[in-house]
Amino acid sequence: MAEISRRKLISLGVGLMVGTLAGLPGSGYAQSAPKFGLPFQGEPSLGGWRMRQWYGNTQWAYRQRRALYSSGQGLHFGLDFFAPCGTAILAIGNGTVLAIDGPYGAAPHNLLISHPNGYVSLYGHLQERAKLRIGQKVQQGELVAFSGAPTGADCDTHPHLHLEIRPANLGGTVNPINLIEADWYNLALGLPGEGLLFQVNLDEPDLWQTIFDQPQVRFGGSLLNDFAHPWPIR
Amino acid sequence: MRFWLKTIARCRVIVFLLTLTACGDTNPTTLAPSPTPTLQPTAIITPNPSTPTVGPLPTLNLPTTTPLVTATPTQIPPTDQPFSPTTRQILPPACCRNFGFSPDNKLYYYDKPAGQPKPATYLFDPITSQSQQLFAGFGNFSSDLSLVAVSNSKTGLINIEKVKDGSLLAKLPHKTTEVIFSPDNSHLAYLVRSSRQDGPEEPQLFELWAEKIDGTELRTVSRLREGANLAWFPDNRRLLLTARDEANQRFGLWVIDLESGKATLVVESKGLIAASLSSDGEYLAYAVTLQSKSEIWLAKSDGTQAVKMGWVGGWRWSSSSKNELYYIPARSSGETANALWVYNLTTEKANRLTDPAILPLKIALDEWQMSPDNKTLVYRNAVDNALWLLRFRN
Repeated sequence: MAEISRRKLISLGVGLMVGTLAGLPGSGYAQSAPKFGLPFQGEPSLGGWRMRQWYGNTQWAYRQRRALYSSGQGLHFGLDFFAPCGTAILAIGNGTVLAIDGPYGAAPHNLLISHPNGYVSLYGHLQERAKLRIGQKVQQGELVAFSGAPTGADCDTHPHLHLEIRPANLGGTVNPINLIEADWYNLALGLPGEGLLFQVNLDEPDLWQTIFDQPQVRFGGSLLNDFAHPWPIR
Repeated sequence: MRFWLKTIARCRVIVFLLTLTACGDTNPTTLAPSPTPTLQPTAIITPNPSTPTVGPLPTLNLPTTTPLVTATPTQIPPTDQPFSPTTRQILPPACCRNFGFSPDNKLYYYDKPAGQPKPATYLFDPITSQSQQLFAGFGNFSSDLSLVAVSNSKTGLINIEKVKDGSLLAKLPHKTTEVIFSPDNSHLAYLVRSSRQDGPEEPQLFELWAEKIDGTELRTVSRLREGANLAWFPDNRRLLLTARDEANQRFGLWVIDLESGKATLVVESKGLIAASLSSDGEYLAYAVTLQSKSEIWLAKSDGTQAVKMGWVGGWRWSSSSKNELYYIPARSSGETANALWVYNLTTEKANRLTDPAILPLKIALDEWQMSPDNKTLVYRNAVDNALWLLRFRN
């Protein structure tokens, strides 16, 4: 019974999100969900930005659960977009600059914007310190930064934007997929890689297997994906 | 080879991923900063004295030059299918991991159906719409579903078993993601990620292992970095994979001959992220990103005669017809659904098999597989997360 209910919920969630994105009637949750935009201008392209890693229970995050993502309960607690260094980053929603290069990781530079709906967006691995002031108002779609790479010197191999959405207390993250309007699956069609596939718990194979159905992260919490019987095996 | 793509157009929505790289390394601490994880100096794996036949990638042949041919996109041809494709849901939402087809066009998948105490691998018959258990667990199967590589639940090491009676053929001394069986089921091969790299170090070290199906002749074939996309040639002797050499100097698509030990870099590219062989081993399709020539390419399996395909999206080779490549291009803005296409290497023509205006496809996570009879396709529907069957030929 619990299994049936869970599957119905997952199905309902996917249907609602797809319906909402397609402009169809949705649930109260879907209708009231904040409508953020993508942090890039124009369409994705091979020479420009494109999807690189989903939020949540990705295969890459699983492999890094005790290292890179240990403080994020083993999950990838944001979205990664491949983007050549220097790509313009846009605010995903109207808001106020909350922090610039604050103690929030995602080196070498980060930017936090607080939004009226209570969420905070974090833009990480920026190329340079954002040329904004704390407290400055920004509009959705406004250029706020330029993308970089984690070490600042690996633009040839690892250029990407790490985007998080956190609640106002900054104590965790939520799934940006459910808050940003985009044709997500189409953005990743045909792309290989551990970042775009989900780790399977062989004991509960439908757990966290869609881009919409991923758990919230509480920083400092215990690992959520330390599966006894995982696949792929690491 | 002049065969590619006078007829293929579109696909301005382009997305590609650089695989196997560290990312998202933010510091979630809200109170005090802590160091962001950084790349560590690459460790060189040292030979294990007990490891048989260990050696680096052998001396390389001269690499094939980067493909330069570009197909000229033209108008999208209308579908000329006399048959009207149909779709139907065959399995429920959230069901089914690791699905694929048996030689007789049945669908196998791993799932924990409602009411069942444990998950298992099932076989679904599209004709009767009935499922029956194939294997009491999860594994990587040979193409004929007679053999399975299954992880020991306690040790994580891999056992090779017969599906029919569960008899043990071999025990592998490794934990590994995916074992691939040679087409004649005489050998198997697999990649092992270095256990010394649990952190974000890159590029990841791998060992390529092979053995006979009975567990004899176990050996390390090569040491390499960022190994992926491992596949057998039909000759049961050669392997294809994407990798860098151990010295991290040569990047691209390799063909390794198990008999001679010779490794040949057939396509050299730092941005090569995916590759697959045609069923007869004569052709390969591969994706390149990060560079100015980022695209999906089709070439002879020695890397020659490469041509750009003119679209970006998912692709699958026909498993029974050696000259067909099926593909689903990503949608450009304004398009609401995907379409299935096929490219025939003999006629050098592309044909759209479904009309998105009549039969809209929306595929989740690039999860779709072609049936061996080339008449149906099973895909995960992005609308409801269920598995659906598309019949596009009679």
